[in-house]
Amino acid sequence: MKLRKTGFAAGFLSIILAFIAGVPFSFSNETANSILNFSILIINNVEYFSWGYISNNIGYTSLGFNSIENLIAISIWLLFALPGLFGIMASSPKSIPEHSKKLFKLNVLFIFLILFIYTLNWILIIFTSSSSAFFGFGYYFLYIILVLNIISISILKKS
Amino acid sequence: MNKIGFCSGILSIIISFLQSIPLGIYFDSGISSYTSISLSMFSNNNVDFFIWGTIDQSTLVVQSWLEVNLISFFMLNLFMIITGIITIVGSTIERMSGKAIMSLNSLLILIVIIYISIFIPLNSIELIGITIDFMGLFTSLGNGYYILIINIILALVAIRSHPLETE
Repeated sequence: MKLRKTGFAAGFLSIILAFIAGVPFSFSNETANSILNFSILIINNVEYFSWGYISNNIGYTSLGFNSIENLIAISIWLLFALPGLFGIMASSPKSIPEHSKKLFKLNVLFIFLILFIYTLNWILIIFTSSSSAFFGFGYYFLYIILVLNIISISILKKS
Repeated sequence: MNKIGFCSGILSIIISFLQSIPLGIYFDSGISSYTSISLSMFSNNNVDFFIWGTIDQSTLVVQSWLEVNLISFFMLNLFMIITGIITIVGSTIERMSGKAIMSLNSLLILIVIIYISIFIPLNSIELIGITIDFMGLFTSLGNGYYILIINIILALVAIRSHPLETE
């Protein structure tokens, strides 16, 4: 059995969202002209990521707080990191299709949950305050991960 | 391959060598990160204790267990490194020997947890030269300790789910 490419890609993208803030691209003379930023929400020039936020080029995270205080932050971060781990584990060539299907379904559930949380956040900010709120590239990235996971499930069902 | 065992091995290697997990990685003349999660086991008197050694946050002096205390070096650092390596190797062996390695993995992690939770607070002066209150330790546990707990749960699950080749 071969590596499940769509599932692996979904897992890899989730891991990128969980750990990486931005990737430089458009190089000329070894310097990047632009940075592809993986922020999910941008509220009043503060960029929110899965792991925390960046304000005035300084990163903050509540994941590093002592235990119990960081429980919500860890839960949200795990919603990003676990689909990555599950996606890669479920895509390995020797994995059992039935187990892989369950893991991909779990991934879809997690991504739906993240999308619901961030969309609700955006709606509440837009309608209840005068702050400006935009979705970052990371938010659209989540849709790509969701579609890749759904494709993986449908491929498994067909096979 | 025992994937859960493999994850347990990777976690053992991570806490054996790393001080923190970088978050918000960006690429600006090399690899940097905006923030990180500390992997300390516990903190006491401004000193962070890791599997590999200690960091004094007031003076920023870093010491490995090899310099501070030889018993702690064997019981924490060496045990975790051995655990990580044998578990990664054992997770690929689909025989009874692989399952035995998984059992050894959970036993070694359990020894490390008992050493941190009981032996260090009871003999803190002899082992690390600082007085640590037995119950006070549990109010200053760090992320590393919780990762160790997750690690032993994974190790126990790995014993049960270890695949065996059928002839």
